[in-house]
Amino acid sequence: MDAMSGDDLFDAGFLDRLRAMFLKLRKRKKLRRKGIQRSPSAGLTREFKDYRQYVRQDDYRSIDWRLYARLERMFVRLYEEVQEFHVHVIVDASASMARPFGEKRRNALQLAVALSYLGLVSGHRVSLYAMRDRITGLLPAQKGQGNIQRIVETLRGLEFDGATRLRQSLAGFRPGRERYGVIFVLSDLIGQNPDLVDDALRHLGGWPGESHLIQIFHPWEQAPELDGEVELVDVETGEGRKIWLTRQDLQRYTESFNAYLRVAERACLSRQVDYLAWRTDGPFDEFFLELLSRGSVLAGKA
Amino acid sequence: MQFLFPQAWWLTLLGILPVALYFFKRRSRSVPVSTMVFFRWLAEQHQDSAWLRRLKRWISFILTMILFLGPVFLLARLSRTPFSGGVRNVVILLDRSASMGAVDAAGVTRFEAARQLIRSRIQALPEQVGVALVVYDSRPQVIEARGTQRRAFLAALDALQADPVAGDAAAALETARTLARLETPAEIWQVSDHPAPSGSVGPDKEVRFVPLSVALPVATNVGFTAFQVRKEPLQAGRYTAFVQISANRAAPRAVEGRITGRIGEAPLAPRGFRLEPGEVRGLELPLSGVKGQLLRLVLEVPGDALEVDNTLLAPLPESRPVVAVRVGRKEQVDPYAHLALQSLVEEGELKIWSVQPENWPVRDVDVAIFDNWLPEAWPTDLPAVVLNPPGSAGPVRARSLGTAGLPHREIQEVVPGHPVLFRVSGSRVALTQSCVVEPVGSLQPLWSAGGEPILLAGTVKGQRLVVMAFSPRQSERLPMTASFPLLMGNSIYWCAEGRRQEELMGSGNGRTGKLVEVSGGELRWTGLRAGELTRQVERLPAGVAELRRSGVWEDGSGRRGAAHLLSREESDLTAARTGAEAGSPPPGSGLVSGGMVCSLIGFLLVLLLLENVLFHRWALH
Repeated sequence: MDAMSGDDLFDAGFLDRLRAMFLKLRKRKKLRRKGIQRSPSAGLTREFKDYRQYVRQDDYRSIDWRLYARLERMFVRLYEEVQEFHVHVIVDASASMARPFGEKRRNALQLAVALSYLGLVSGHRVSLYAMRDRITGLLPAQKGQGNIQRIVETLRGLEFDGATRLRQSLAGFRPGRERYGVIFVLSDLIGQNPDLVDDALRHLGGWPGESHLIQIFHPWEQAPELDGEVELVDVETGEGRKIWLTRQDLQRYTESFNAYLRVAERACLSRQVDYLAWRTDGPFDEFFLELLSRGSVLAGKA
Repeated sequence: MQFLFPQAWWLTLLGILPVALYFFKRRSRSVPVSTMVFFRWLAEQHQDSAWLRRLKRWISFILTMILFLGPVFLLARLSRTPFSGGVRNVVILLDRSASMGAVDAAGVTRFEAARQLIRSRIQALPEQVGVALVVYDSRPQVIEARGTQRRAFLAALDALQADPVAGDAAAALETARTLARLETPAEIWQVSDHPAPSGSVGPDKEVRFVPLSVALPVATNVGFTAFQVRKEPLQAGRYTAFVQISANRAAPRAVEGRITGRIGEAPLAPRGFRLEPGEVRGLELPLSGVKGQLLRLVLEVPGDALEVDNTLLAPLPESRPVVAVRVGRKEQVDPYAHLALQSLVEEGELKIWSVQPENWPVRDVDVAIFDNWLPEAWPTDLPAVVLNPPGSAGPVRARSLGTAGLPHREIQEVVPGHPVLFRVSGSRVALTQSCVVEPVGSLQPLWSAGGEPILLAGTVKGQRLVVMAFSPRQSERLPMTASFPLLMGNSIYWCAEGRRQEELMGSGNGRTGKLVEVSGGELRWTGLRAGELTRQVERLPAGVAELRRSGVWEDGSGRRGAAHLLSREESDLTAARTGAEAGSPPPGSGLVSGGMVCSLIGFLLVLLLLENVLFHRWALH
């Protein structure tokens, strides 16, 4: 595996732009721990948000007596509710992510660093995972901007090898109630059997939180440039196969690959999992903004 | 089958390359992929068994080798029919006479058809066989001596064209035979639309004669085969055009057409005609014009195959009086002859001078009249009328019968239709024979009396001659009749006719193919094409021109003349023999009937298509 420097993963200019963004959750659920992230729900902080009429079972301590003296009607003060949640970044670390096209690995690691940084800047806890035959944790949950370097170092040391067992991995991942938050899965989704992708992605919908699946693929994987007789070698399993390819075969290949992408997308959308396919020849910035805006997690900061 | 260029077989050694590639390049290109699952699914759609894949691989190899050997076969020029007999030399005798300009229904001339035939046969010849090209019309011309450079040969062939000149195949055949004997065994291919000349086979067994006909399958042609314009005597501005038209013998049916024309810009009345196949007809066309005007005559016949013999273009001749000089001693001059000659004199038509023998010879005259006198040195460039010759001189062999002579009360007309006897009545003629004349050469008795010729006419050494072996003054009735002045006048005009015609129309006038001297270094041609006059200038620095165009020519000095095909042989288009395909060699000929280039190219294209479909589009592997 070729070494990747920290500068490649941690572009200071790009991360500065990330400071203007905040994550937003699509699923409105209350979290146990309070953080500094604003939420549409009203909470018990010192920052005033709005008034509403008093109803029974409201905390009487929140009644604004001055307003009562003036209007002779009881209103309760609402305060900003600040939430803290977990950002789980799962990186596919199989060999197909690094070979034969290193762009997939580079893009996956850059995206993982960017998401982690954004989570840390927003005051959330960030956890890193590697996915091969199962999902394993790379780093305990980190909090605070100062831990970004640790995350970068961890990702830089991540080795890409072995085969992906998508169904087995996703089924075995349980973040737990205390780790509820936003889950990002960065993978090429290329496992042993494409027919099982729908069943594998079923587990994404069962996770407690907001899930995002980013499928990363190289343009060559969608439309390979081959002709004649070639011996193909699988980078994950080492399996070899001789095949004589014609233009018609390649067209059929592309159609099946695109169908695979559509199956993955339908599987995600049917389970309220955000899905985004990313060709590695696309610009990183645009893709990242697209990812945040599609997931309704983009937040502006003055 | 035979390879015409076997040297190309060395290229088969390059076949080692695909064989080596097949046996040694067994390992396919290894490509690492991350999406093997999709390729695996793809392969499962077209999975073949091992033996089938091996079979297909062999088929692919065989196709590759065939595709490689095919171009080698092409370069080696595989030919279906072997070139037997070991012929080493081929002389192509190409007819470029006027009849080769005949066109078929598609508008292709016979010359173009001959060119295509030669090209196809040349390309089927082995490279080592030498090829010579001799073209001929009125005379043969060696275009390419024996050589093996086919490209140069074909380029020279493309530069040729048919000219409106009559052909003479016999002389050209001798030239071809000479070339063929340079390297034997040889073949002479005569490409023409006419049948091969008699004796074309020749005694030499090493030289085979092969006629290749490009004649039209059905040919209809009517053409001018003779033409002359004369001024009507004693009539100002009146001319007569004598034309002869003939239909070819191979015409399938009777031909109808018409003759149209113009003098200057004034149209002539059309003259219709109907000719049976092979029929020849003479026509007289009265004309009105002035000297120097161009006369245009056009034959309009539906379906006519040859255009070059359908037009005539000639200037109306100038009218200069005939000048005759009468030579005789004054005391011996016949008074009746003198009276007859004086009665003929007409201003602008005929002048008669009288001179004594001492003043002979006289220049710038058209006819000499020797009256009871003969010169010692016979003029070689002057026609003559000899009256009562006293003895023998030149072509005249006569012996005097003395002063009394031999009276005859009647004469016999031997050739009544001779021009000398035009409107001369011989029924009441009684005359006195003064000498006995022996017919010499082509001298032909016109009158005879008592078994002896007394009036003779003919051509001796190119000059016309009329001999009258009688004395008018001693004759009883002849000088007193109107026939005697007519006889004298006819004799003078007939003798002057041949000389005058050449003079009026210029030397070399009449038929194409003749050589003329040219002054001024150029020849300006006026031709007739599609009814319109066309003008061209031919540069001739050598001063001599061969008349190879049809029309009126004029050199730098203003001398004019006309040239036309006027050939019965060229206008008589022949049709291809029934059952014999044009251009096909006779049975037993060792000629190549054609290469297999087209077949091989087609076969290779089919193979390429098959290989593409099987191993690329359908991916049999």
